[in-house]
Amino acid sequence: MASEERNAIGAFIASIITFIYFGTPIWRKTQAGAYSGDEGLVSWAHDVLWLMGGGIVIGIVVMIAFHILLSIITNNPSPEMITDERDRMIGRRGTLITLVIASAGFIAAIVMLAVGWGAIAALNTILVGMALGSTISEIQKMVYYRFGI
Amino acid sequence: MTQKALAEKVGVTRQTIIAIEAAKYSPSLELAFQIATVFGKPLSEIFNYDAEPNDRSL
Repeated sequence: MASEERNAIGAFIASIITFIYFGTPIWRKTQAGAYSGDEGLVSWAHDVLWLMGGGIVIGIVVMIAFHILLSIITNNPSPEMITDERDRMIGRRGTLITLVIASAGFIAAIVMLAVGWGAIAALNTILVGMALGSTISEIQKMVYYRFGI
Repeated sequence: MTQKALAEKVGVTRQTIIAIEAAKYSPSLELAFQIATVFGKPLSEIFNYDAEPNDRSL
């Protein structure tokens, strides 16, 4: 398994854990109306900062654990860490997908504001767009690595 | 020559050589020439091209 494929699987697992652990409380608070008013925006920003910081920590932990696990399973203590042209091409296509989906989320948020939705709903849409873009990009990379590009 | 040896000679991963052999990845022109050079053959003897994209193989 190429090192970038391992990274894509690790990043996918990390993003799922991050959204379950940090994203679910944000969704619940939004549903409960805990983010209404100016103080609600501040509270939302705090929660999203925790999500971002927590996501980085979870990403690092999952990546290390996944690499160790894979080394044990494949009985290969020092797997290849080379990145080549195929990895770069798959990486570029993944970045494109992230950009397209995140942009769609941003445009949807603008439209929502234009038709009278609240700021929190628009901000959550941008957040979901970025999260979906990142996750789908990792899925797309895994598909390219398994089934060809 | 093993896939690993070829990969090391042209500076890519073994997985990329496997993907090229299985027609799951079309190499860049530079990599294709490097592979042909390793085997000491012209490009057309190493790679073939058909109109169907999935038929390009090593």
